[in-house]
Amino acid sequence: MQESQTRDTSWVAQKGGMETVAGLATSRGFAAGEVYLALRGGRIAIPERAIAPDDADGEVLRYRTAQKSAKAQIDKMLDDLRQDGGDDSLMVLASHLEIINDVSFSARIEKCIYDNRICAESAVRRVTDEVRQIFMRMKDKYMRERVKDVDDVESRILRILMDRDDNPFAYLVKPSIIVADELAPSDTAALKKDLVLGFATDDGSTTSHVALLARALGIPAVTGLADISSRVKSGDFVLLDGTNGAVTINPDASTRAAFDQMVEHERQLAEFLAEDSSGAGVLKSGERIVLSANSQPGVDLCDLKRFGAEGIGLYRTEYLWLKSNDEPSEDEQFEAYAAAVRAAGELGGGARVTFRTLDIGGDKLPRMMMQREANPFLGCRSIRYLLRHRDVLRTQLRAILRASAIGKAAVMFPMVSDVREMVEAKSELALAMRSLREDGIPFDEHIQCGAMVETPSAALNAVRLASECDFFSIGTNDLVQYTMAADRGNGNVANLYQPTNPAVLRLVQMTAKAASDAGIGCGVCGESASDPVLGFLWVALGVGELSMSAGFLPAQRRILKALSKCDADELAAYVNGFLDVRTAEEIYDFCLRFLLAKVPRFEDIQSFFTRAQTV
Amino acid sequence: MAEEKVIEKEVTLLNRYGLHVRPAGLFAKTASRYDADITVEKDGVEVSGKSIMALMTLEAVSGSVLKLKVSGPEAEDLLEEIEALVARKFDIPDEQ
Repeated sequence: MQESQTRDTSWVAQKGGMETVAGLATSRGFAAGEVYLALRGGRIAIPERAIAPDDADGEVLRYRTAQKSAKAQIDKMLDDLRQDGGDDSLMVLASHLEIINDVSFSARIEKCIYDNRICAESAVRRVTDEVRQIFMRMKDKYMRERVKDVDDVESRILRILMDRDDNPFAYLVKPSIIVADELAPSDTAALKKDLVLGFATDDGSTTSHVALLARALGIPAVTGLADISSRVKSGDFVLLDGTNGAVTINPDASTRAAFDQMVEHERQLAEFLAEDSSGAGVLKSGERIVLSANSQPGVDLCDLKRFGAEGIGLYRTEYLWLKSNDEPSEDEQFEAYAAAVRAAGELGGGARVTFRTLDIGGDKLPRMMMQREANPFLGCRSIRYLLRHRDVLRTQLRAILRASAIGKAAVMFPMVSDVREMVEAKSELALAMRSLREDGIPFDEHIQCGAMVETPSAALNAVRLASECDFFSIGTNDLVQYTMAADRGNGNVANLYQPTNPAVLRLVQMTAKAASDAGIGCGVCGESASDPVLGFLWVALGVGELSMSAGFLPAQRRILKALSKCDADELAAYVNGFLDVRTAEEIYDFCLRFLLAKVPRFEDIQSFFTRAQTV
Repeated sequence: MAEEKVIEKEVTLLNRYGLHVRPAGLFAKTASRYDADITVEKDGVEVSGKSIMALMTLEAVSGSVLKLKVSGPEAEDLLEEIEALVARKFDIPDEQ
């Protein structure tokens, strides 16, 4: 941690002090500013005092007085909030008032004082602990998290009983980024919202109080940052990226400039493409191209609606493993998957979530699971790993199937290179279905099941593979890498990473044709789907769904709207004529010029894609 | 004394997150305004409809069916208002 320096220049001068902490992208948006540190510090320590029998009445009176003060405090906060127009905290605080007024709750506390001859603080703690235990056992995560409201009321009463100070924001006087260990509704009620640039908290999930509040106010927030509150102090300068879930502490000048530029891009993009943020993906001539989003645990599901996604075309489940470096239980997985299908369900139009089973290995290696391999990209990864660890696969399939009872879901197996892998994976799916049936747990009997096409062998054998699949999804990153035998991350061979290489284009075309002949869908879910040039090229080659980071959907929608089926056929005819005579670069340039000629303001649209790095 | 009439009625929770702190608070507050007794039963557990804490501990998620038993002079009015509240998803905008 750096010592504090003159305020205005601290982030420039401390080059060595810059660090970036990753957390959950809880509420979209960006903010740059000074930190206001608010520490609330979890559980209040209380005096465990036994009392004389005669003092019990006195303790009950102390409790009742504290109860009255707590009510008065909340009433006052509610009045203030109502004058400000009110927000999410208003409703929550009204419920806190109900908790304090709850006759059965106070009766139990008073009884506890009499029965056990203990002080009011101890009784409040004991009775609240009993309630907490009930909450801890709850299966529903959202419900379980409401224990925070009970904690909050307990803290309020305890602070009053122990005569402790209350407002963590007493010194907030200028616009700041609020950094805290955790924040309860009563804390944020006292907060002057117009001074908040953003929130960053140690604690929390995407459905915690601060998450709901931030989204309701449209303020960026990153939660689940583990120890951010001990890494910064008030006055530090931070960059907060609520879209991607990152906080950069004391950034250097170039980092800050890059951040500012990104924010400006985002702003212009939103403005320029506002009208393209909803509606189905469709060509000028009326053909449907499904535009869906790539998503994963921890990414804000509100983005789906905001950018007009028609579903989740790729849900990367492996983040549940990478996050904890441990095996997530069936229930944990189910919760994450259920949240995704619910969010998709709200989009309407039969939107579904395509769950990719654990895609692990290669560049994504949780330490506990993997053996060291000499050549990991050609090793035991993805479906190969799952077929050797059937318990992991079966647990995951059960969790996905359970989610399919809540909303529309599909399963997709990654890295299929031999049709037998698909057959075996499907027999595991059948087994998972049988075990759920035996347990009497509902699921979608007609869940669709498809393969990722990301190896040349899968593409070359697409006709046979299609007979085992309900859909294909082409993973362009791996397909390019395996076709060209070049690791994109290796600077010495990165020039060979060519999505428009004729070899790759042939494979994509073969895959799309096999799908079309078999009457099944074919999408592209690599980030290349969001490339302004490649997206339409894939459509021209016969792809019917593009799945990408949600933020790129409006721009891609705008491009598709400007082009017709005739344009697609024309481009396909040109490209087919080039396959034996042109290089990857020449083909890309041709496509680019084609689009520049046909799509109004294509250059503007393209400039917004500068951040569309293929992932 | 004449035996008191108990009205029973089942309602289904429609709001997105079920009977968590806000809806439970509104439920209890509404119930407390009437001269009537109300209990809420879910999966064999029956609690007072006037206690927010008890209601929250039912873990009634979205789609849960609650059996309401109401009695007393204003039982019918109370039942009517609770049913309307549940049907309106407790007027919580994010959960419609």
